[in-house]
Amino acid sequence: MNCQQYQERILDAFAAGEATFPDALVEHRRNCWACRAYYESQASVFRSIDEGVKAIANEEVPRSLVPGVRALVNDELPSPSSWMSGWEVAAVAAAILAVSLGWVLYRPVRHTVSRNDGVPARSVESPVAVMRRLPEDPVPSPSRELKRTSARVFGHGAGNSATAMPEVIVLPEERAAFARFVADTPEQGVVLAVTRAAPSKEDEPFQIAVLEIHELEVQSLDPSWE
Amino acid sequence: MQELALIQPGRTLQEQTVREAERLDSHGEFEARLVDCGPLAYRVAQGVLHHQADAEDVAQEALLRAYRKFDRLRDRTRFRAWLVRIVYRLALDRLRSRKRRERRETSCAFPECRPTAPTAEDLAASTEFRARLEHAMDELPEKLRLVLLLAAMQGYTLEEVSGILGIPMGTVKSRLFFARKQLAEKLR
Repeated sequence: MNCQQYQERILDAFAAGEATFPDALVEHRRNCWACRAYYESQASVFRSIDEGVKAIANEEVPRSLVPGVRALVNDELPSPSSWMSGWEVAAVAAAILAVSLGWVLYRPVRHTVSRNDGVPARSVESPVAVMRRLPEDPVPSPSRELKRTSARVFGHGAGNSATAMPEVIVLPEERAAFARFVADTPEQGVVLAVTRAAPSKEDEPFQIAVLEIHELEVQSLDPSWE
Repeated sequence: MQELALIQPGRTLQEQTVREAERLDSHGEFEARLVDCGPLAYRVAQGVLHHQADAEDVAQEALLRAYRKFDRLRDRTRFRAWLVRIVYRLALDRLRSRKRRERRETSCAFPECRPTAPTAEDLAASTEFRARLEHAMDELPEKLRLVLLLAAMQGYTLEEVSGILGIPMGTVKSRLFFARKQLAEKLR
């Protein structure tokens, strides 16, 4: 075995972490200056490697590591009753939505009949009577606001809102009288009736009056019922 | 996603409660393992990255991933091996992206100086040697590097390294041998 082969054996022995070397190798090293120098240099290199790798592999762990992971994990962990609160949140949201929708759809629309006519103000609940100005009247009337409101509420066009909310066309000069008439009607159970056939033209006035029912008799259509 | 699963229609309250309890148990178990294995995760990451902030970041990410999939781990005794694989993969990915970035920024990251005849103590103490050693370790094949790191960690015997990596003891020893030999040749 020559020196090169011995040196390879020395390198392998250090790499394998062997504590003892074969006798032949020890004997050769004792007698060969070059192989002894190689042995010492390799011993130094492997000591350095061991110490260096050990230092790298055992770096001090930052104190923030575990708390940091714990915080991240806790962020991901749902609270014990989070699924309950999910239901609760959904229920509350649905209730609020239902109440809001109901209020918007069914709220009473109030409108002051005589705003500029000097007649004492009187609230009239729709759909008993809604005033609409004639086309030639340039002043915007409250009824237009109502029409817009009803269209907005029901989500339909003006035509549909007209069917949902009956309108009474009143000439400008008749408006004060009409307001007075509505103001004098009883608070409850007002029924308005047209007193004669509606005119063919839209802008012609027609009369209305409170419908009075003096006597009401209900008869069965089936004679055997009595 | 977890919350959606909990409020799925059709699941009974009892099922949800049982799942919640299991999840809390699992959380408690993970917490215990976190204290035990957190340092291991960091050191593996640090052994690859040689950068404290990056290593901590990678270790945290690996532990968080492990937590997310902890329920799917059937054999909990394999947690350590599983975690090491996760953190090692993440660290290597981070190292590669960092190297790409460094290559763009500078042509040479490490000085090419070689000491003339330093003693072992001088070499180990020297930051220059440390830099050369880290560089040499980075050039080792991934399998050799991981074995070298784990075997050098305090508190881990070769048997434990074998158990962590799920490889035979003889393979651990041979990988360690080749890792040390290659390092010595690079640092000669």
